[in-house]
Amino acid sequence: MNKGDFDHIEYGKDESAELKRDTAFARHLETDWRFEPIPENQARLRRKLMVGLAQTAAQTERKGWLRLPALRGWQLATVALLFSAIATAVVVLVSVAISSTNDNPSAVANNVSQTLPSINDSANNKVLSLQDANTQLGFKATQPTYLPAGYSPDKASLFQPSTRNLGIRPAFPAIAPTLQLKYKTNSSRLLEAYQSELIQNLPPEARERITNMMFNMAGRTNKYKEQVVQGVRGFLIEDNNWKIGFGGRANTDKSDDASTLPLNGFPLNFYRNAQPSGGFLEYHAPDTVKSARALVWRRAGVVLVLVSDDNLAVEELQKIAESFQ
Amino acid sequence: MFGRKAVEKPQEFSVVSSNPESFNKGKALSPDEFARFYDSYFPRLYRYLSYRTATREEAEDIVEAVFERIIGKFHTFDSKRGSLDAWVFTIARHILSNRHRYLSRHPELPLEDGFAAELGSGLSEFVVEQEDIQRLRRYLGRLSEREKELLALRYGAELPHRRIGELLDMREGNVTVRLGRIVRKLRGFFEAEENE
Repeated sequence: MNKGDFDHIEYGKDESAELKRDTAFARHLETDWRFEPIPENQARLRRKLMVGLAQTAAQTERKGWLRLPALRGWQLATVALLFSAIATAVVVLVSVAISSTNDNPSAVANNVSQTLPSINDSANNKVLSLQDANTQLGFKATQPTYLPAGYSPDKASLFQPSTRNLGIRPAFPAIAPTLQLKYKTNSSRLLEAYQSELIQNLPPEARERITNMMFNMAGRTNKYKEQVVQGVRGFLIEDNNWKIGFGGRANTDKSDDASTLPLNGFPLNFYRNAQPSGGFLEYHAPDTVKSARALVWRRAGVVLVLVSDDNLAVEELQKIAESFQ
Repeated sequence: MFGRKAVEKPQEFSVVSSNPESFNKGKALSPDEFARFYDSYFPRLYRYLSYRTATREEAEDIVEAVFERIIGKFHTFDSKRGSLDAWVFTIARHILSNRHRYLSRHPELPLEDGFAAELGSGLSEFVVEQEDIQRLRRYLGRLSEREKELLALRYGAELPHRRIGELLDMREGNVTVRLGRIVRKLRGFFEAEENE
């Protein structure tokens, strides 16, 4: 407690007793009633940040004419605006060029190993192949062999937590690589697929202790139902925002079963729970989508999420899901 | 007097206090400096956030975001324009308010208690909260944002009143008076419930 914390109170006989009680109470505030850091978590973050520091140092320690002067806010905003306009133009041109060669759905359907169109394949702006994607993801990515008429593959993106922009993240980022496949139609309908390996979303020390991964689900009431996809238990969620819990059983050999959790969330993101072997997967549909529906299932430790708007019938969505190879 | 005890002053970041010029604008943190900086600020940021967030998980995520921002922006810190404490906690407050804005648009539901149990034994220590902490969280909900911020900066971040005034644009005396009233108000909540 600081000297002077209670200097404001004019004291008489009774007031001094009150002051003593205030003082005793305040002592709890600065000792017992707050979270204390967990040393392991503190050490883990320290290691992680040291890596980030080395990367940042490499960027800021530029020499000679490459070293730009410090810019004010409005100057930065102008530069950012110009940069984003140029980047948008480039992305549009590249997308148009790529889409013209991939309009036929069977291009994906019959050629799982073919090249995926890409928008943000990190810094090199190259087209992303499935092989490259697999290397970066750490598991085997899959594609549907069926797409309804009028739908065609559009873009593939790899969300890499290590390459995220540290300064401008909207909330809490993916903690493991996630593949996003986008499909397009002539009328801007939504069809997207996501894939991420559950175990990679856990901290390393938790991975070692996990014998079984659970995958728990509950949208808000009545917004989801269980649905078998590719022979395994999955969920059909008819909601724009939802959240799924996942976790592992530490050193038990119980079978993989699911119980319900209340959930909700962001486009598609994973984040770690306070419990070291648990976490969340969140989805938040774009604001332009009125009603989103999603099929979520798990195959060989990889969680797959297939999302569409309500222009696509559930049966069609199921058919696409069943065709993932 | 009146039961005040000598409390150790919050630990200063020694490099800054000994040589503030070494952190003038344009310089990034060396790994060694960052390590000391981290060890000094992590506990205070975490405790500050324990008053401003609902769960450990949320506090840890925000602490991480704060340090990432600090690493990226440290070269812009200018000791002539303000203290390092004020700079660090201003960043924390910005990130926290962004987080609150995000949550107001996308509210989250709490985990069911059953989930923790499902995850197996050995994990319960991470979710078990003392009853008093839970009560405090409830009572904090009855305070204004300003009052919560004052409490968090004082009893979480352990900032001296002068620094709190610098951050919240208040006079030091005013900080003292407000804090005293907040503590008494909180104590009132606790005592009222106990007397019921």
